[in-house]
Amino acid sequence: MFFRGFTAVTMEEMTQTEVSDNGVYEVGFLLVPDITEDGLAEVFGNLKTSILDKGAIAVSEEFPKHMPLAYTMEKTINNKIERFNNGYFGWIKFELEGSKVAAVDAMLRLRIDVIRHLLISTVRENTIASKRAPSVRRRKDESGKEIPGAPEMTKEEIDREIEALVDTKTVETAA
Amino acid sequence: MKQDFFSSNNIKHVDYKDIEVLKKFLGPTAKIMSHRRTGLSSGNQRKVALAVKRARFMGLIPYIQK
Repeated sequence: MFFRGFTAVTMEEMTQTEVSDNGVYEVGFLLVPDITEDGLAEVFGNLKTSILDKGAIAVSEEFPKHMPLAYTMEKTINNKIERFNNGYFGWIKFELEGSKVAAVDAMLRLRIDVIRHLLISTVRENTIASKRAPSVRRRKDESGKEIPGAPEMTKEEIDREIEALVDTKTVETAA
Repeated sequence: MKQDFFSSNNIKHVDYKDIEVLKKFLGPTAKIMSHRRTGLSSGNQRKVALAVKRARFMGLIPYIQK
């Protein structure tokens, strides 16, 4: 019997609450540039399944993109130091029990097609600010009054407006 | 930069993959700008520093630019 605050908690109850603490993690990886465009989907799928096999639930992902590296990286593959100036960078966000994360890290470390990987703890929502919708800026004139922007319209209203414009144009051309 | 970029744009998380945002806080030699020059809050300055170091490790931005 343990006391948490003022309530008595049994050992059984404590273990039950501790089991459900899944965290959201993200693994970013650099794949070797030798992979062909066709083989890339296979390698990425293979990597994803090996993470999901550990009990992870995929949250979001980005398919690897070819990119030049900011500096030359080295990796020993089959007792030979290989140098890379470009690679395929992608990431997978997943939910997993904290105790199983080390296994994912170890698995990635052993893969020869991954130059480098980075496993971090993150949040479920999108963290890339530049991909979010830009915030609406309210412009003000010299006297400090707000300048009204474009009126807010629904998709249907916009469609109706465009159709009306197209109709008037066709009438004009016909005349 | 006088105001905190993240607070004014309502950004809660600093992502290491977001290179366009991170580059705003790097000098011409790719060093992290000082707290005084960025105008960030202490917490956000630490978040930027961590994100820059992660991005450097993954080869997204250089450690040093000549």
